[in-house]
Amino acid sequence: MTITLNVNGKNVQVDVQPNETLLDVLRNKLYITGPKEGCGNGECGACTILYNGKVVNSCLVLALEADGAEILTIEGLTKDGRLHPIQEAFIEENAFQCGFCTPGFVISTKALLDRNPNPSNEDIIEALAGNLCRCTGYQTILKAVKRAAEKLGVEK
Amino acid sequence: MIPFRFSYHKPSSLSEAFEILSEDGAVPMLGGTDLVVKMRAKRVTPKVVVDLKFIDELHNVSFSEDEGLVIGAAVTMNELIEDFAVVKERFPVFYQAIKKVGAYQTRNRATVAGNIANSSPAADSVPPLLTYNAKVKVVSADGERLVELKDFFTGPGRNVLKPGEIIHSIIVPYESPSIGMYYKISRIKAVDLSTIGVALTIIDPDGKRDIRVALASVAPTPVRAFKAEDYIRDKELSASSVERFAELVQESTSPITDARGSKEYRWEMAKVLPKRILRELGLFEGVA
Repeated sequence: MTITLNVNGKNVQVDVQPNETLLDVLRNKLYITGPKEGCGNGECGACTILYNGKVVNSCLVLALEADGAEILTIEGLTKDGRLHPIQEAFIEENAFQCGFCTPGFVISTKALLDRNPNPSNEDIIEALAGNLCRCTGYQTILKAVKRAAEKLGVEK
Repeated sequence: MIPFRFSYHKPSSLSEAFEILSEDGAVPMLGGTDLVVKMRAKRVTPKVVVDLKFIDELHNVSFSEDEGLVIGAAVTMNELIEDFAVVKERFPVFYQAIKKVGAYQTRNRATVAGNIANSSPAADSVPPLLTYNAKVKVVSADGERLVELKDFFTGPGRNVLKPGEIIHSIIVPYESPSIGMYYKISRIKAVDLSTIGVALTIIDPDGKRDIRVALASVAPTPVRAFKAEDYIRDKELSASSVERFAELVQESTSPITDARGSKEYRWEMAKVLPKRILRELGLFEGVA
């Protein structure tokens, strides 16, 4: 069956099977490999995307459900070759090592800052609790989210 | 990729849904945060998946003091607590428990109806709903019926839903202001099932002071500690009455050992946590 998705601002049509997840389709058919498959059970957050404006684990969304959906992945944050302020903040704070979890963290951060431009530590921890990182110990990620909030505040 | 073949349908009306649900091997789906995980592991292998989230009438939420809070089956947990301030204001223990389910991403998909239909003994949204005397509106092609939540569960993963029946909405009666706490112990702070969860709700704290307790992960189904509630009704909260109350809460449980904790630990915490909640609410000064 053919579905239409708006992925990072572009409309695409793609043939999908009922047993494919949205993550499968993004990665294997549209070659959008920012979202990763870590656990495949909605526990690690590596596959986090914005789905109709809300953060979800794309490994638990059936592709057919997503017909007509608007999707934002980390690839869609970069504009004209320029990194998004959240991406810059993650680099400046060394908020990753292996990088596998980073696209998920960046998208969760984007969703958090969209709904709450000045999050407290507690707000950040709640919003990012569904994203696991095995390298950093999280402190640099907390700092990166705060730095990103500052950068975005200055931009406005 | 889910390792078997099935067909997927998204009906836009209940009558259309009932028709597809009558097919052999059909299962209903809401957020999919339990079902898709089980399908990926082949623990559930439906032939037909009926996605109910495109049915408009299942997205309704309403509140009035007479009718209580009515939550449509397809309303996500985040929609419920972010878009309807009444949940936090009138049902604070339920609000706290929803925030303990999975992670933010999970709660953008998961529904209260799905949490109930999945019927895990560890369902975090259930103990507070038990203390608020919630009811489940069940519908099928043959009509509708109202089931008390306390009578809904029949065992781990089992409930009174018959083939072709789905949850239409959850009805949470409003009695009076309430205070309380959902206390969840888990191995990690988020994205984990409870080792034990205790909801203690005090209905009308400045008036009749009705203390209600329900627990998750300490019995084959979520349980409400009616005997403990009866005991403490109209009694002063003294060291000895609270101790006896906590023992009676404990006696309402029948915990087992699993990957998340031992039966001995759960048994002990079933007594400690009611006391600890009363202490944190400022109603009891003893050790807990």
